[in-house]
Amino acid sequence: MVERLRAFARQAMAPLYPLSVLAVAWELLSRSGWVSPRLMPSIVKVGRAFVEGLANGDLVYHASISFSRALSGFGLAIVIGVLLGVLMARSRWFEWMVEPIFSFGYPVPKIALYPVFILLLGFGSPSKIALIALECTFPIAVNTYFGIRAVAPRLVWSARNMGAGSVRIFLRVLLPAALPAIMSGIRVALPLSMVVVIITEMIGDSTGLGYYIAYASASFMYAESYAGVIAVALIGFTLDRLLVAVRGRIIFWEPDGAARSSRPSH
Amino acid sequence: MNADATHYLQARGVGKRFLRNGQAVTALEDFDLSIAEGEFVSIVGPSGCGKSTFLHMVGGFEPRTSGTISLAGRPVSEPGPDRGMLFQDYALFPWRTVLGNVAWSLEVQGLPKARRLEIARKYIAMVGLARFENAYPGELSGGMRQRVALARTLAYEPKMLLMDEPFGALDAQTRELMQEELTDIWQQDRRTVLFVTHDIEEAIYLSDRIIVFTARPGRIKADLRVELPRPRRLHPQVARVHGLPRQDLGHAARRGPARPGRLMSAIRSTAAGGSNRALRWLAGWTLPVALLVAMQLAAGQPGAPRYVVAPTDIAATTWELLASGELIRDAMASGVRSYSGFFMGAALGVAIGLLSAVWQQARAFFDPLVSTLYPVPKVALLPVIITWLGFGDVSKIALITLAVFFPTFINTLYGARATPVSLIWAARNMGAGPAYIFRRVIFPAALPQIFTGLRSGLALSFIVLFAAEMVGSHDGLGDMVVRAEEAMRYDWMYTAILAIGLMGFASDRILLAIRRRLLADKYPGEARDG
Repeated sequence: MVERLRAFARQAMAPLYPLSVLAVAWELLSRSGWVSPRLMPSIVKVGRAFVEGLANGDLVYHASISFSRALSGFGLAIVIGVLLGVLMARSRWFEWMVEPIFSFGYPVPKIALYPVFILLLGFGSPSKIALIALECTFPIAVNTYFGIRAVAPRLVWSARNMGAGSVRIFLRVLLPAALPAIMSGIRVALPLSMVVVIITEMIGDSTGLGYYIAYASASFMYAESYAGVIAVALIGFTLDRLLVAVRGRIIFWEPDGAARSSRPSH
Repeated sequence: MNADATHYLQARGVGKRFLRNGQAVTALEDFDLSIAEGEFVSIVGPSGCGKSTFLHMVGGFEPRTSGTISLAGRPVSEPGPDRGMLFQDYALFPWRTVLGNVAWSLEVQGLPKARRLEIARKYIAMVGLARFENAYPGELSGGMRQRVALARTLAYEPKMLLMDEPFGALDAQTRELMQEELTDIWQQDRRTVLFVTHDIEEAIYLSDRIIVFTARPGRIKADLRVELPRPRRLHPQVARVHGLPRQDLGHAARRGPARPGRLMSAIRSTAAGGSNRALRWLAGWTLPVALLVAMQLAAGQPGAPRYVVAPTDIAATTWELLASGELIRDAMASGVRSYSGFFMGAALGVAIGLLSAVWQQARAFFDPLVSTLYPVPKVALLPVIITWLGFGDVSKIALITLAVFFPTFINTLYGARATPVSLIWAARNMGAGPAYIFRRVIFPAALPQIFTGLRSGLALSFIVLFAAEMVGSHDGLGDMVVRAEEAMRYDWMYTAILAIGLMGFASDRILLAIRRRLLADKYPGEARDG
């Protein structure tokens, strides 16, 4: 028990070392006078701006808007992506018609379609959510597709051998066996949803953290701008940890190592 | 062959052909076999002789190209619970406990819960795993897993057992133990068994009858009866005393263990071959063409919004912009930014990643830092970086460098850290120094994963580039979109979007081609995704 606690504490402390080194370097630079203190406000100032933003509700308001946009798009992408991935893996005609779109569209920066989405859906949340959903659907659908196709044929054979029908095989064999792959697609998609929401809010909006950062920066309120960046970082980090915890819960039979190595694949 | 037998299983003229790399391969040809009820029959033969294929056809998993197989007088077409299949790799469900795995088939049959748990427990006890009924397969040894698989198969009481090298993955001691257990269980009710193996002693020890296959195409080379009294305990010696023709068997098995996976993948890869290819190609075009046609038609309608532009107009505008040099100027500006950022981020990521892989001090700093900041969108820094470095190229390149660094670093580090220790030991054993090991062992071993990181980085670089150019720039494709929108020239806008998409796509293909060039032959199975 103590061993475990100690290991947990060590893991939790590990990021503190590089982060504090960076913080000290920042503070030294800020005080040295080499860089304009306006560009690089001291950490105390940034911290104060962060707390003030929380207290007067500004930061909370914009963060909640970005958060709900990102999660709506992300949630839509999970539903659409898993559905398309399953259909591609199970229906030959669907695979023939749709799979090329995913293999050719995968490396295309979907964000380029944002202007079209604005024209179709306006400047508000719908165009942003749609773009997030589009961007996130790709890794989820592709991972689901390959995950289901890669299920060991012996598992399916065993199930058929025992007389299981196709619905039962799908729900009880294919889906659980493909879950690790689906989850790694979801893990790739999550940071993408944050990237897209921030970008689209910077390009054109008057709400959301992307706007908050860009606006503060353009009004020379650099401490506020950094406070916004910290808020974005906290949200991104927390969501990722949550996802890892959920994954560990659902896919208990596979060690976390697989998630680690599959995380960065785009 | 066995005129007095009841011919429980009867195969007549069975053949199997399939295409591999466009060439017809005959796995089995004109194959006859009959097995009496209650007989334990083993098939031995060199690897790839079609013995597993035959077993899979009896199971109803693989289609045959000719002949008939019948079981108790009924032709075999589908898998069914009258035949219980046992695989070398166990095929257990990793997300179910031992009890859950064994009870699965009974669940499929719709037995009430209490009854199926009772039956499952009986068979789990039979294979000696009563204390492990709540364990997951991942927690068990190979021998225990195969026992679970055996219990699972026995639980639905098949008339016949089909065993595909079930003990092939076990160590010698466990294998002997399992052989004895199987014999004990078999002697209780004498089910019909068809057992595929490459181990002759195993075949002699277990079987009433041994079928020896020739190399491909598989035919029967010998059909031998093992006239040894049961129970058999001193098997190899006993067999030799009884003067079995061991040369035949030895020759057949000399080629080592079979690899059933290869055949399966070959079959699957040819499933969509031949005339289907054209159809498949056509199907892939239906949706994009439908979209283009719909746009073309909609653009001609009187009430259509201005941003619905006919694809023909977009093509004409693209040509115009190409000819005037404007498109090329913007594409060049974007290209310079994204590629310089990409190369700098990639170089930094690979260099620091490799450094961190071998130097503990660097790893303690960079690994937690990058892992913590990985899910944080780096584009949030865009306005800040612009105030630092201005609206010019430098700020954009810096942000792209940062974005590309993260995935490249993490993949390089984990790729290098995952280098098999045996490789490093082997190199050290041959007298290689640390520098040599680093350059010739660790780096090449990490290369596939490095490319995975580079590919993520490349995709990110275009996202960041586009965002940076839209937020503040006076040239580049992202800026072209903004200019076009302001001028309400939607045809320009689509041209710029197409150009960005094309740039991202082409860059990815180039990276994949380089990867294929560097990795393809040396790392089988690595270079295929993409």
